[in-house]
Amino acid sequence: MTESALGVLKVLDLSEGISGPYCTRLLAGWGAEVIKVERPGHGDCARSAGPFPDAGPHQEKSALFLYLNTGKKSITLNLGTTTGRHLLVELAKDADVLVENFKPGIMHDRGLGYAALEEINPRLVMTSITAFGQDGPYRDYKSSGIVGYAMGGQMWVCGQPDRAPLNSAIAIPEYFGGLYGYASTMLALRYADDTGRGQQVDVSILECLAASHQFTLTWPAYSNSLLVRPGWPGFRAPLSFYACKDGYVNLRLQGIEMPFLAFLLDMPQLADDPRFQTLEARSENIKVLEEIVAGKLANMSKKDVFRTAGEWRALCGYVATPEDLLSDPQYLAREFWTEIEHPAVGKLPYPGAPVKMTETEWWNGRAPLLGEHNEEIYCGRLGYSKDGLVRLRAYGII
Amino acid sequence: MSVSESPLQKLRVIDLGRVWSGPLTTRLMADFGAEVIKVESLAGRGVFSGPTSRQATLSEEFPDHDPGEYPWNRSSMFNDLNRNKLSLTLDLSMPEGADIFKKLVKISDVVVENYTPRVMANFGLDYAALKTVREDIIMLSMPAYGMTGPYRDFPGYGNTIEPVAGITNLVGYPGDRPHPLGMIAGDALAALHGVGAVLTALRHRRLTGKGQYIDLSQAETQTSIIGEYILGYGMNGKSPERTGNRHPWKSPHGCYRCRGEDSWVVIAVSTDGEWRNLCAAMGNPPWADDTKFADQLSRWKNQDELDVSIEAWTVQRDHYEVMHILQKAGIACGPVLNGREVLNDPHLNSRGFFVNITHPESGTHPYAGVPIRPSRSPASFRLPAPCLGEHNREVLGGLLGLSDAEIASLKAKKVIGDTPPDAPVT
Repeated sequence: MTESALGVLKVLDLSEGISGPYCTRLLAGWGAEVIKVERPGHGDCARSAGPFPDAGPHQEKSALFLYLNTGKKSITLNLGTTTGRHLLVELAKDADVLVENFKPGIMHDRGLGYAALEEINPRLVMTSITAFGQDGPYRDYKSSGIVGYAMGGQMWVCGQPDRAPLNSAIAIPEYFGGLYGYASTMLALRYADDTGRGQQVDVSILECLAASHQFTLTWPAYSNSLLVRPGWPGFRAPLSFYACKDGYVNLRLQGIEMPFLAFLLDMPQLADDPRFQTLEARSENIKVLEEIVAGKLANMSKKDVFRTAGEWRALCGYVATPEDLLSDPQYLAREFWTEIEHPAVGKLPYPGAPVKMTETEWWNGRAPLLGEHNEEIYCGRLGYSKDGLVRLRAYGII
Repeated sequence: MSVSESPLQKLRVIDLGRVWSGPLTTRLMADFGAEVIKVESLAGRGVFSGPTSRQATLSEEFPDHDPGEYPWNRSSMFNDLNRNKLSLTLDLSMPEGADIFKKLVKISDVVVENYTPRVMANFGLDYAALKTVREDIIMLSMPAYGMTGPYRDFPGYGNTIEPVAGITNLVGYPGDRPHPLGMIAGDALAALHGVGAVLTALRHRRLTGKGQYIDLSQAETQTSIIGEYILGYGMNGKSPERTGNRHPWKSPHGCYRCRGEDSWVVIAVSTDGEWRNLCAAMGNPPWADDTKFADQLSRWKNQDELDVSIEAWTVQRDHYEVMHILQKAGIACGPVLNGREVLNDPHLNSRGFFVNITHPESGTHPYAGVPIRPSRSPASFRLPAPCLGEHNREVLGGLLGLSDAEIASLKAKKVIGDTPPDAPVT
């Protein structure tokens, strides 16, 4: 692993949930040693979030935790105790990176703010990912996925015009926080390599969202106009979803090539039907065309439609379920899935490297059990004896 | 803040990116000090990245809706995604164009492109070719489905890739059909994974001296943010349900109408303690005492009814007002902001998130800044987005040492230029 991009890096991961852990998942994947510091007892809050196997919740069986924490080590540490904070400082002395997503001020209140850590390790990069950032009027406000999606401007444009705005329900805000967190960590590491100085990076998830869309901000800025629901997909050239016999596809009928559509639907007469030949004529008769398309697609398979469209170089997507994804020929051909064995849940397919790099290997380790590496780190790294470890445990520090 | 203190100082990046994903990848590098040279074909500012003719203006937004004399330099989207960059026009299908491109690669560190996979190979400019010019070049390709596999040549934009990547299946009103995201997430997800990979490759190069090739499938980077659903399916064989504004266990959790037109607030209550605080903040209405809402599970089961009662309270108030009342009571809550409101949000503005940039042909406008704030090496805003071919002379003459006569000859042969071929005669 020394030949890898991050092979010599030591990362202390105090984060939990999704944003920080996705950042450190990428660090671990590209070869860094990531030591995850968890609260004794419950550990990372993701351990109590699902999905779980049918048998129900179990702290070693959360799909969310297992996915986000591949390739990391886990130690337990109670940062509410003096000894716990002392141990963290010991670990921070030779760390390159510390990632945390506590509410702003918590690290400082525990004597673990950047100014304090910088004194013992001037090269340390501290990546702080929070909902609203380290300052400003909403700094101490509570957030959640739906709040981030709402305030970043994404939710207002999502959904139907005559219904309430629609949350994505997937963890887009948190993942954006993790991704910007990763980029900022790499930027700060480069700066540390150049100058010998570390720094704290303030990543605000609200700003990650506000920086990651199009039209929503530029339209009001340029012409005081607004993108409205249903947002981009309905924007002037609608991409419509049609029901097939086994799910959904989306097609853009406005600009579609009629010979392709004629072939797809096995209706040769469509190819030169005057009602659809020019863009103007098609706009006038779009309802007729939609009816024809919807009627035919209802008896076809979504994957067949998608493949035929792709071969004709026509824009189309099919709505893939997890089951579809795990058997999708493209994902299989590119070996995107990787089987990982875990003592609590056995062997399961995981998403592997998010991108393929020819020189930097992606590391597919499993997620750690809670406190699995206490002995390795406290005894092996910090020199505690086995008895010392027992005492730390008895005092509730680990 | 001078560029010399930026983390990407002395880094030269060639940006062949079109539309959104590619340009966003290189924008982040440009904001942190890299010299990013946009290599554009004269007709390249297509429908989404800046129209080339007045007819195409239907799909773009211009300052005060006015495309002006040079619409390709006035596109809000292009100008947003391409600040801090230089523009060189180059027809890569002509031997002279490809030749100049290679000369540029020789003195560059990174090449980013998001064409379909055949394009660079057709130009004779794929990674194998560029590596012979510059051994340690780092090249990022970011097509829809990756550089290999049966879908390799399938076209795709964010909103056709999101369904295939498994995202759309998870989005929708409960019980309803899959719903596309209003704002595509896919392009930004590809860009952020892409920039992370390039920065990783730069570190690899620093340690080993080796460049490398990065094959990014936009679909795979999107699937990477729903890993928990895939793994969950692997565990229990159950396809996840579309929860919309609901949450698997939190309640109340939803989007509630407020005073004013199309004005909404979201509220997420996680614990019984937060529920009691919510009741107190609403003035302890009698309905809240009903045993139907006494504990988390009961509230979750009766959330249709609960939502109606909560909305009766929110609808009398402004969405920001609701946020401040409930946040003071320790409840996660926020207004559903439209674009104008985001631009005016007091918190974002107090943090100086927006940057005003003056563009010579578009005027002065606020733009989203950078959500990454390193205390010692912050982003810098040095240049507005370039006009088409604005830096032809600077790059060709200054960087590559071509003579005035050589540049004039390239212009005469239409290898370079500053006006799209189908531009209206003015």
